[in-house]
Amino acid sequence: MRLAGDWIISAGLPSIDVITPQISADKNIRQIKFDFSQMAKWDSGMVSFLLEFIRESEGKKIQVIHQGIPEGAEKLLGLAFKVRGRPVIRTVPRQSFLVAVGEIVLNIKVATFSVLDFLGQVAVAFGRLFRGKAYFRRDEFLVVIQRCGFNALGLVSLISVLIGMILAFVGAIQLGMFGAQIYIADIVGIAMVRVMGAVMTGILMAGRTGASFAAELGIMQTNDEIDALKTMGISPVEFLVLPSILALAVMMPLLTLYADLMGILGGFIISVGMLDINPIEYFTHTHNAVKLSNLWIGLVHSFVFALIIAVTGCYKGIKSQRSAAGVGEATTSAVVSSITAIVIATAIITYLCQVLGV
Amino acid sequence: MNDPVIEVRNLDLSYGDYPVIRNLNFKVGKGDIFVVMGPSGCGKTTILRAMIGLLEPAKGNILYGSKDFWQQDEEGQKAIMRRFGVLYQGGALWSSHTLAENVGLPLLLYSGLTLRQIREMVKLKLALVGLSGYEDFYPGEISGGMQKRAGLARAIALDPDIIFFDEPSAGLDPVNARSLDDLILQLRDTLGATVVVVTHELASIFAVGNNSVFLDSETKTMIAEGNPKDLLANSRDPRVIEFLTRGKRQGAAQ
Repeated sequence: MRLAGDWIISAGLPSIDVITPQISADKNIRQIKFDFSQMAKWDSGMVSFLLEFIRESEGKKIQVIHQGIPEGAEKLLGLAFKVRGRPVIRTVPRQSFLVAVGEIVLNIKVATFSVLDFLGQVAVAFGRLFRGKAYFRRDEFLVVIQRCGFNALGLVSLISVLIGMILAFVGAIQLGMFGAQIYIADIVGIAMVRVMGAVMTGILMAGRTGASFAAELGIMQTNDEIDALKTMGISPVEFLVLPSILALAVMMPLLTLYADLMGILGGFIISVGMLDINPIEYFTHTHNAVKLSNLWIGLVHSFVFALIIAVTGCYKGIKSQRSAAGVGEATTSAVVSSITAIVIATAIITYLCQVLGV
Repeated sequence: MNDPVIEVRNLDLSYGDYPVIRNLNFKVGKGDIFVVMGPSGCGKTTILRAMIGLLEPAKGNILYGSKDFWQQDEEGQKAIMRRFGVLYQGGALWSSHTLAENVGLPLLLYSGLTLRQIREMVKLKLALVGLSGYEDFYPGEISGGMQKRAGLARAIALDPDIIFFDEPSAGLDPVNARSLDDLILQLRDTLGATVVVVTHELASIFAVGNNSVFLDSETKTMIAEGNPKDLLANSRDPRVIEFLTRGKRQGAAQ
């Protein structure tokens, strides 16, 4: 067998299938010799070709004469053929359906206990905080406040104004049929203040702040920083989770108020700019429609969302696997869980308000 | 041996159902530099995690003096933990805090010193590890070797009785690794601390260790103990000899 020309990866390599049919065709071949005299350059691509070829040939009981193989390539072949110790076989245990189901149920149990344990730790940390025994640094708290409050203003403004505009548009088409376009002010005002402001802020903050809590704590876990706190006798929940929950619980209601105003502004822009509604009239209608109880309900929403986002983000981060993929998974799962929980909480609160007649 | 500072009895460790280490027994005397060594993947770091209170053993006891660590309640465990310092593999500095805050936090929480005194203490500890003037740097702004030394400054902030090192020379160049070894010896001599080092770095093992256990990854237990130099000279176990000579000698018995 003669190998000629350049046998390097970048030049492209022939497949072994070019030659095996020829060898299989002739049953009388007992030995194969190589001729490398016309070969210019070679690299590990050629070695890999030879390796496959030699294995194939030996499988067919054909002797391969190694003579003439370049010295370096021969050494590489030697290394590749030498199997160190026992061959490693990666086993993935096959599971029956019942075992898999059982495991899922057990995992749910473990996860539930783990969540309850975490909530318990948070409660203990708050208890210590109120008794003045917890480690709490004002500067750190203020930094989190800035990160999850002030820095989110731009995003919240943009989204809320747009939501207000969309509500106004959708409402305008329907109300226009009755010539009751002025009631857009009522719809936008009540919808934003009672629920939309809080929900939109909640979803934004779940993606923004919840994800950042999870990623930060996950990376701290990976870097042993959380272990370092534990071995120093400092509760990671007190040190890391407490400021996050407090900061979000303070900032979310404020952000929601701001979002409410921005939403009403959005509705105002559409109504006055495109639907020719009198600005004073729009203002009076909003003022009369939006009752204080609506405002309170909105703020209750936002407070509950703040707890959901902060607790979920911190929990997922602290329980994160110690790898890059683990942190990514923790972040994703924090956002997905928070948003799901926000929607469920909204449904529950709405139902409760209905029952209570608020 | 004088009274053991740490005693490990019949220790079994596992992650869930997966056993990592079986039947571990050893004592660490006061002032020892005790090396936990063995090939990669033999469970060295797992042992360390159990000793510093991060992984509850499946079976067995870890005694500090006369107190069984895992039998204590949370406060009791914290009291024991306060007596030791840990240097983690990557330093594990809190990245949102400056070096001074990192080193100062344990002092702030447990020493009862005034802020001014703490500042002086922090300066001293950072100077001891060769980081004077870096008080206001954040961990991300200094090199890996410096992070490690800063981690050591934090570990010795409260003058601990026991200092644990997880792979102290990992990721350091030979000169820095050597100077960290020298620092370990100095700390033992000056602070009178007991030192436990988890490593597979032969140069460090022979430079600092005066007592050790050797773990085997196949049998998942310890197969030798004693001064590493004596082990090199006298051990008849081919696995120990192969490890201690970087595979040059295949075992005295053969």
